Formats: sequence, C-alpha cells, structure tokens
Amino acid sequence: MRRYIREIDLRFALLNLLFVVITVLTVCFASYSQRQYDVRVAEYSKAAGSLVNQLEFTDHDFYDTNNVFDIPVESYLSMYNQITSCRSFELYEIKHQPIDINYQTEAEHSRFSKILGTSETFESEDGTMYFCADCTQMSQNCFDTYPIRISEGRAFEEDDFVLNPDAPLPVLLGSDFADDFSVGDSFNGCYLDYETEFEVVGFFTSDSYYVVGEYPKYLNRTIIIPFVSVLPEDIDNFRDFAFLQYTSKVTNYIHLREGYSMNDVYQETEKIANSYGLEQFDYYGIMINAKLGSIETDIDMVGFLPGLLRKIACFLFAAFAAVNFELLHSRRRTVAARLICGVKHSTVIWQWLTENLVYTLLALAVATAIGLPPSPSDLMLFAIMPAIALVVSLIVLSQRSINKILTEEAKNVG
Amino acid sequence: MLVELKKASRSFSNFGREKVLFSNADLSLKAGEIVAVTGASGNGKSTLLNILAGFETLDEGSYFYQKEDVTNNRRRIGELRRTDMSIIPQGLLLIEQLTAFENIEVATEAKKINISRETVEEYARELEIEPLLDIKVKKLSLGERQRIAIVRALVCSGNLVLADEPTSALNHDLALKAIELFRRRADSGTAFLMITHDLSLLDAADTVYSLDGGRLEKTKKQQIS
Repeated sequence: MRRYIREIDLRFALLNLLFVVITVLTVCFASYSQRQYDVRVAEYSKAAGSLVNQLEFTDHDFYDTNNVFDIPVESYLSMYNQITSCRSFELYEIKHQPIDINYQTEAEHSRFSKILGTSETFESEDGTMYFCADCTQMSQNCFDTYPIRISEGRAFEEDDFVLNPDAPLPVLLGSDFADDFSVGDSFNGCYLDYETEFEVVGFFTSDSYYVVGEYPKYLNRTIIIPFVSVLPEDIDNFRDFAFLQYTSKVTNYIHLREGYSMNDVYQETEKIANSYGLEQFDYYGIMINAKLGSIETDIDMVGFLPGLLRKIACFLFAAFAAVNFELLHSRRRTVAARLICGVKHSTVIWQWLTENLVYTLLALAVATAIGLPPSPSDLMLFAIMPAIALVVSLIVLSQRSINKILTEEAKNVG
Repeated sequence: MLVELKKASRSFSNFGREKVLFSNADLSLKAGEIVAVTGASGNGKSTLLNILAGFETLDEGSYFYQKEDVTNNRRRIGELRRTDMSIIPQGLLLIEQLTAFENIEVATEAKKINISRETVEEYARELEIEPLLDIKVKKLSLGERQRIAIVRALVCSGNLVLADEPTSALNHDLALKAIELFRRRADSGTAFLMITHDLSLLDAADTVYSLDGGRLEKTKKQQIS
C-alpha cells in the first residue's frame, strides 16, 4: 500500500484530488443552497399563514368569464381535478363572491346592511328588490387550517361543499350577526345567477380569522358560503353556474406540501397547463409583512444559486473525466512497468478505481468538515466519479491499449 | 522443448507497403539453453520477443510453450508471464518513483514468490549495484537501471527469461558479469532468449539465430564473430 502510494506522482495525484474536491464541493454547495432555499420557502410559507402563492392563468382568453371561446365546462372541471390531485401542493379556495339577496322590507335589508355597510340595491323586472352582499367562498380545507371556530350551530359538512339543488345553501355568519340572526333563518338570493335559498347553519366565534394577504381577516362581519362543486351529472342543468364556479376555483391559492419545493410545483402545473394549451400558470407571491419581504428577497437571491452551481458541476464532471483520462494516460509507463512484472490487468484497473474512490471520500470529508455535508441524494451522484474513473481506465487500459503500451514502452529506453 | 515456434510468420504494413519481418521461421529453446537472436535493426527481433511474451501475435504459424499450443492466446501467455517468464525489456520499464529494491518487490509480489532481501543483495552485489538498492530509480544512470532490470528478471525468473538487448548499456566488464549470471541460471535450468548485438553475449549463447531479410536461421557462432 505504502509502496503503491509512493508510485503515484504527487503532482498528478494532487491535480486529480483538486478536481475531485472542487467538483464535490460544488455539488455539495449546490445542495446546501437548495436546502437554504427550501428552508426560506418553508419559512415564507409558514409566515404567510400557510398560503404562499396564488395560482392564476397566464392566458386570460382561456379564463374569460364570458366564455367567448366556448370552452366546455368539462375542461375546467378536469383541470380542477388535476390541480387538486397534485402532490407538491394543496389548493386552497378562498374567493370573495357578491350575492344578490332579495328583501321585502327595509328591516330585512338593514339587518344585513348594519353589519356589512350600505350596499347597492336594485329592482328586478318582476319588482323584487335586491341588495348586494359581499360573501366569501371557502373550500373545506380552509376550515381545517385556520383558527375558525363555531360558537353556535354547526360547521360546514362534507356534503355542503357539493351543490344540492334540492336543499338550501348553508351559510355561516360572523359573530356580529348573532344578534339579528338565528340558526335556521333563511333568505333568498342569487348566487352566480343561481337562484337559491340560503340557510344560516351557524356562527363563528369572534376570534375566528383566516389569512390571505398582509393581515389576518377576522370573520366577525363576514358571510361565508361553501365553495361548492357541481357534480358531473348536474353540470348540464347548471352549466353557466358550473362554468363560473370552476373558472373561479382553479384560480386560487396553493400551499406547498412538506418536502416539496416551488420547482416541483412549477413542474407539476406546467404539465397541466400545457395539456390545456397554456404555457404556464402565474404565481403571485403574497407579501405578508416586512419579515416576509426580506425572506422573499433572500429567496430571490438564493434561488438562482442551486441551478447555476449544478450547471458548473456538470462542467466539472466533464473536466474531471478529461483530467482523469489524461492522468492515467500519463501513467502509461508505470502501468507498463507493473504489467511487465506480472501484475494483473484487473489489478491495475482496480487500483486506479480505488485511488479515485479514496479521492472522492477525502473530498467528501473536506466538504463535511467545512460545513457542506452531502445530502443522501448527492451520495449517489458522487458514485459517478469512481464510475468515470472506471470507464476511463477501461478505455486507457483496454487489452488493445495495454499491448500497445507494452510494445511501445518496452522499446522506449528512458 | 520449452519454447517452439513453427513456420511462424509476421509482417506489418507501413504506409500501405507490406513488410515481412519473418516468414516460415522455426525457433526452439530447451530448458537451460541460452539462445541469442541477432540481426540488423528493424528486422523484427523485438517483435519476435514481443510475440513470445504475448504482447503481439503471429500472422501464421504456431507457438508452443512446454508443448502447449499458445498461439496468439494472449490470455494464456499473460498467465505464463506471471508464473513462468521474466522479461528484460529494451526500455527496462522500472517505476521511477520507487527504489531499486521496491521495483524488484513489485515483481516478486505480482508473481507471488518469496525472495529474501539477502538473495536480491547477492545478485546485486555481483552486478555491483548492492549500494543502490535503496535509491530511487529516477536517480540512477541507464547502466545502473539496466542492471536493476537484470536482477529483477533473474530474481523472479521461472523457466524462461526474455531479454531485449540486456547488456546494451553496460561496459565490457559488467556485461561479462551479467553473462556469467545468465550462464549460472541457465545451468540451473532457466532458458534465456536474448535479442543482442553484443559479441560477448553471442559468444556465451548456446545457439544463435540470425534474423535477416525475413529469414530466421540458426547461425554458427564463428560466423558471427
């Protein structure tokens, strides 16, 4: 062993080691910066009240509420199903939606308007009076995520999130409504051109809120309705409603699932977008506060590094292969000397492989020592280096090359 | 018979022109025999040695080693190289970063033979290189390196030593000492095939072949001298 080490020309060995160390450090640094990026994204996600990005179409022709391109609602339904099946994120559906509530007396109007403020009123052709009330639609997972609690009545149930033409649409009201409304009260209105009856099923506690945007949004003065889906068999009967509902549902917020990065989200959603003839969805980061702003700046700064370092690493792997080839080639005479003494061909290849394996382990030790430990996935990547050394040795020390080396070097007096 | 070449032919193509190195050549080597091959430069003497060492192949003819047909069987000759042959190449092929003794150790370890330091020193003493055994080869002169290569081959030799100009860098006295060593080993059963122009070595050989104009022929030693 000691003799073999002494056989190695120190300058060449150091050159080889240097390339291995630089390559390993670059890969480790790429991973490290990726981890830093993911940590910041996770921090951002946490600080932002779990909603990190808003998902929206880039192609507004596709997302046109007038449906001028006559895109079938089934397309939106299938897109919605695909988005909700993504592994890297969860879709959170939260959207303001005005509903037109009809009223017979001013008292009926005022019990809403004293909470919601003065709103536009209008009279329909048949003489029915309406006022416009701003409601919020929410998907079921919002209720599991935010501190939304019920003080009276019941919360929404799973069935409430599916449009049921034979039953009133359930409504939850903020705590400020509790003086004027009771559980079981109902009123009629128009929700996305769908005439229906609304039934109050419960009230929120006064400290219930959700977060989208800069500050928490308390629900005291809010009317929440479930962000209903339309069953495929009901679509024909509620085509317009379903169209508006699904175009709205697919333009919403996403929450990264643990272990995934925004890159995973981009990849998954790009596939979906492409399958509908769209280039990509837009993602709008939501700045919550100054702290988030700084994290976001960090994310921007750190975000470009992993990709850049990976590109450099690819170049270094190629350079390592070239250097490895050249170094082994420069050892032809030593190899010939060993072979002519009777050392086995396979032993020479094995020694070259071991040598490179040792360099790789040394480089990994250096990386760990300076605080850039490789991730488990990188370890597989580092197997590439001994593999390159093996391929190089099989080329440089092929049987044909060996005979050439032996016949040429055996004559070469020096 | 230890080595036999029968009707051996080898040619090579140089810029489209075919050059016959030797054809229909017969060569035999018995245990304990010293055979010298001489001839003008470029006539294929080293190629003949490379064929016997398994580095090159015959175009035609047969190569028998201890009656086993090993013609163009590089793998088998490779095994024989490890177990039964030693080679002194013209280029010597020593590992420059190692000492003389370590170079010999590389060979003994590869051939899995146990040779004591004393045995190596004994051979080295006869060739006047004993004090050089622990010096790195890169610091040695060509003549000293050649003697190290000779010691390496003799220490590890089995039944056959193939040598290409083994005394070319030695002065007359040292060449005679090397020849004396070869003779002693030959007397104990090792066969030698040497490519040489050295008259002393030709004189010491039991049989001399001349390779000239593509013909390999046994030559009377008087004709050479």
